[in-house]
Amino acid sequence: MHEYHPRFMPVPPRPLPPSMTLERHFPKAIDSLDNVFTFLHDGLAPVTTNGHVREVLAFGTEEFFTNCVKYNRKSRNDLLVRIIADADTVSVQIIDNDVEPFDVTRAPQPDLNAGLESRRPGGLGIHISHQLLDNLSYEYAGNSSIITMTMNLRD
Amino acid sequence: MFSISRTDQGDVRLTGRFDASRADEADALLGTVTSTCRVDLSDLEYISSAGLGILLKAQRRLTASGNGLVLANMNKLVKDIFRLARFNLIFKIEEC
Repeated sequence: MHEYHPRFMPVPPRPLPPSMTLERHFPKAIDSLDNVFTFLHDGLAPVTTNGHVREVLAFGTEEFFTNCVKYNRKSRNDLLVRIIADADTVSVQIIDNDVEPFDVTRAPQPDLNAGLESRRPGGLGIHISHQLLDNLSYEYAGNSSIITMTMNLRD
Repeated sequence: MFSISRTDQGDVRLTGRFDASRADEADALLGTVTSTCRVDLSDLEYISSAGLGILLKAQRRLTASGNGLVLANMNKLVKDIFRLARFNLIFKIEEC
């Protein structure tokens, strides 16, 4: 029978860091933005110190949150903002219940080459978010729109 | 925290985070600009598409009278956002 020196006792494998999920409801209003940014700031702080990752997620969250406020007027339900993180990625989801589908990943491209007179800001936010984020996805289930913005935490 | 102000030199200075909730405040001050004006962005941390829309509105009005905004001292994120919006085609941008 083996006798293990205490120093070499078999130990269970170290568990991977648990994934983290935080979520909060916000009234569907532009005035909620300050509280949304505070939620993101506090929620992302333990996940990453990478300023670029945090600012890109803030940009995307503002764009899609304000789009829900402006265009999903049928429902006045609160919007759910959720942060999901693991060792490799961090995502922010915006979930809007009881709305019509609008796939943000298939939104029409703004005309970026138009002259000043005909330039319109509409669509710019989605376009820029799509370019800055590592991944943007859309799901529609049970009358709910789920927008997921993801940034990689490893190079 | 966001602020927009005029400096003693007549520049417009934007600081902090320019998000959709600050659009009215920025629109009001930029509406008082009537000639070509430098906009100092050295302390602007963040701008959203709502902020871009306010700058676009001011640029359109000023350009119609032969004037315009000159944007100066953008940080990397703000510069990336302007580049992706191709606003470098419609604004004069002063490089540091």
